[in-house]
Amino acid sequence: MADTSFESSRPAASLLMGNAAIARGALEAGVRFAAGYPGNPSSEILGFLSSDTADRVYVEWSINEPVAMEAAAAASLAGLRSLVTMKHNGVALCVDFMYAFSMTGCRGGMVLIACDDPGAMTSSVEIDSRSLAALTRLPVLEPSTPQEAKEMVRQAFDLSEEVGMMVIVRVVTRLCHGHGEVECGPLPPVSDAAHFDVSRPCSAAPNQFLPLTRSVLKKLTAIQERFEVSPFNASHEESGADILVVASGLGWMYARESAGAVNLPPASFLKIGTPYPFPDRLALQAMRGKRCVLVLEETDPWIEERLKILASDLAAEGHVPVVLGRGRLGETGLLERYGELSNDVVRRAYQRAFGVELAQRCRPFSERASQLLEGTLPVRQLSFCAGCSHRETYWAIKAALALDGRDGFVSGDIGCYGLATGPTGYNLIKAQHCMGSGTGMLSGFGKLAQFGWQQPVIAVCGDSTFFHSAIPALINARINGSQGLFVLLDNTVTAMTGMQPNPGSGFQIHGGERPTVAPEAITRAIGLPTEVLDPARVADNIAVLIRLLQKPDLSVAIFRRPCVIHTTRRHGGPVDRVWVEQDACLGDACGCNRFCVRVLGCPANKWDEGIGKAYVDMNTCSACGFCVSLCPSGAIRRAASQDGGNQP
Amino acid sequence: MTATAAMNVLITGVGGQGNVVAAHLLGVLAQRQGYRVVVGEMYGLSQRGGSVVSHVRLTAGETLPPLVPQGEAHVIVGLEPLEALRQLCLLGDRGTRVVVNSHPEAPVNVMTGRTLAMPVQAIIEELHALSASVTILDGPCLASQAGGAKTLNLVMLGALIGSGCLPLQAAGMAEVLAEQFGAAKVAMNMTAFEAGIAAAKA
Repeated sequence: MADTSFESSRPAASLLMGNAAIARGALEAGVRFAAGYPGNPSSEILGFLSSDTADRVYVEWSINEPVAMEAAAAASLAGLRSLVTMKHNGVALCVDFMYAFSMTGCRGGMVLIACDDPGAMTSSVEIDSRSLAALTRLPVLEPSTPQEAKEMVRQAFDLSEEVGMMVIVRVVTRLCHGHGEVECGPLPPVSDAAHFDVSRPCSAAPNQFLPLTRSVLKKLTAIQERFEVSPFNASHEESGADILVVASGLGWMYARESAGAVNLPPASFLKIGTPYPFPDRLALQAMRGKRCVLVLEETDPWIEERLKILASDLAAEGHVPVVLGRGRLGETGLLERYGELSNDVVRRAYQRAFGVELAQRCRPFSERASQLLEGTLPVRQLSFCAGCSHRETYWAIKAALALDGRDGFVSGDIGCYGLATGPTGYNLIKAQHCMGSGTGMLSGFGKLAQFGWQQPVIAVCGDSTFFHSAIPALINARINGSQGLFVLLDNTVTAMTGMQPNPGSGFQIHGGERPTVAPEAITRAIGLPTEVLDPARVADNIAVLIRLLQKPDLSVAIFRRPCVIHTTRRHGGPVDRVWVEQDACLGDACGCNRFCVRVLGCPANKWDEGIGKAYVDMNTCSACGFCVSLCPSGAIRRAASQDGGNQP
Repeated sequence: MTATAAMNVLITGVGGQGNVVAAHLLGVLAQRQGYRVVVGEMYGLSQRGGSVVSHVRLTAGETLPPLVPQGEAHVIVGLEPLEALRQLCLLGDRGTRVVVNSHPEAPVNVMTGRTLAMPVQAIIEELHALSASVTILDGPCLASQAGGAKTLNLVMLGALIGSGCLPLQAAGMAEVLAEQFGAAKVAMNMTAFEAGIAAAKA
């Protein structure tokens, strides 16, 4: 391995994160305008664009995904190359616009980076953007490596401009967040000539439906012809092989590595880099004469079902291959119908499809490993960060609902505060779906009094989600007279995805200032009485919440404190110090049953098993002081620190 | 394109330990020593107390996918012992070698009493019983001597190189650090890196 003889023959390549490679591809294509809404695994792409080239490219975090796409589309209509990035949920939100925009078409090359999350590792659902692309009739490219992602993004701009359609590059978490070697090309010169040709209007008006639809279908047919010969697809025909492995994205990489590892019988391979419009002739040619076709893709059986349709075309030739993969609903497929691929998943598929033997881990090892994983090794549950204001806000909500005593509950959605479906937020959220849904449900729950409903309902929402999608729901609740309480957990930044700015943050992606929109200005303009509260004043806040819960109409409470992680990064660690006065902590003799570590669930509150007392982990604590107020012995103290607080 | 063509390293720990940076530094160092490199990351939600693991795969030839297959982890670098054992069970085998920081970070659910703890002595015993070798360091002690808790990742990276588990040289790390962090931060991080090398060789 240490042989370095190949070193000189290798081209210079940087080790880039997949999302950096995507940004690089856009830069090499001469992108001028980029917009997006943060969401893993897409969140880093715009950051890479803005940090490298603030003056070449206009970059913004938009209020939500549809607005980001519409803004980027406007730049395209003005003749500029534009990029829009989002996670899969955002693509689903954009479907309405995509339907219309695929018909009217773009001018400057426009590319959507659709970041899917197979296995829902940082999501609550698994969405296959290829399906949404086909639904809205927009072409899709899917890379297998960061290098290919860079190339595809670059060429997607050319394709988009030539055919006059937004092109989607579909990527997945492991590609976005992995690092691979990427050879970078030159950045092109750019010129400014933004202008919209008003003699060519761009409107999906009802009377244009037929001509525009015919035009879309014609464009797609032309793109399909290109994809039949695209170098992003690759057919490796093995003479005499009667099996074919068709793979796309990361599936292609696993298909190749695992084929070597399991001694696959002679097989032909087909890599699909252009899933829509699908290269039918290429696939038919590869399937011809095969006994069995195995499809490896993430996540829906999308290529698989296409191949099953195509296979029937081979019936006339008297030989229809069996197509294996994730299978039909109700049948046991070779692969599960959900979840990401891996070498291990692909090897098991090879085993089931072709009967190959798999290397096994030594038996005593695998038995002990299973025992440990299933029974002994504690999992790590997620929790709010030390000093997160959500812990105090939820404490107040929990206390208020308990004191109210009418079986009230919380309706929530997606963000850091969504962790209140679990123990870190005292399991308060009982209904959680998607961005803004908690408020829409409040609007409905709040209208059920005429059906005998008596439970109080609190909708929780973060600041970014408020701007993204809760405002229409809140207006709906107001004008229809819903009863309930809307609680905004405002930490002034989009924290969950990495501290991106939102309209309440007051800064932009490059770090410079921009105007702030105050949520309370909006809620008051809607006509809702609004209290702005400091989460740290827990006892006062409980009283406020109880009072608001008794009211027969809708009110708003905004709990505001900037995210502690964001504050620490920008302004340094805490200036106060919090500690447990060892003489005052009574340990297990206190009767509090280790209240600080057991109940608060703050990562900085710890228990020293050796001496049997509580302590505060100085490396983790941000000196919010919440535990100080709750220790029954008054053993937890806070004071200004001479040496700059808890952070070492 | 065979199972033995790659050197597979897992770097694992909890959010905030500098895991992802360590994986990137290892990748760049290996790249400078002539290897092809691919890194896979799993760090979503890590800031909120979750596990973090990076897969670093080094080859002399073909580009590989980012995930290490089960049983094919050659070395596990544990910034935290519980996470080292978890990855050993998930992706290691009898021949896997382990380089581990002995200082545990208890999960919040263990601190709150919702989940039973696994004592660190038991974790270390299991690591010894299941792996080919275990190199143990007092990570926080070495890191604080070098310049603070944030250098733990460089200590562990040094220990990986010092352990001899990989055919990689320490030479070139100062240049990699200068390139990644800027010249001002090289000295402290090199002190940590070299302390890790020395501790692993001791």
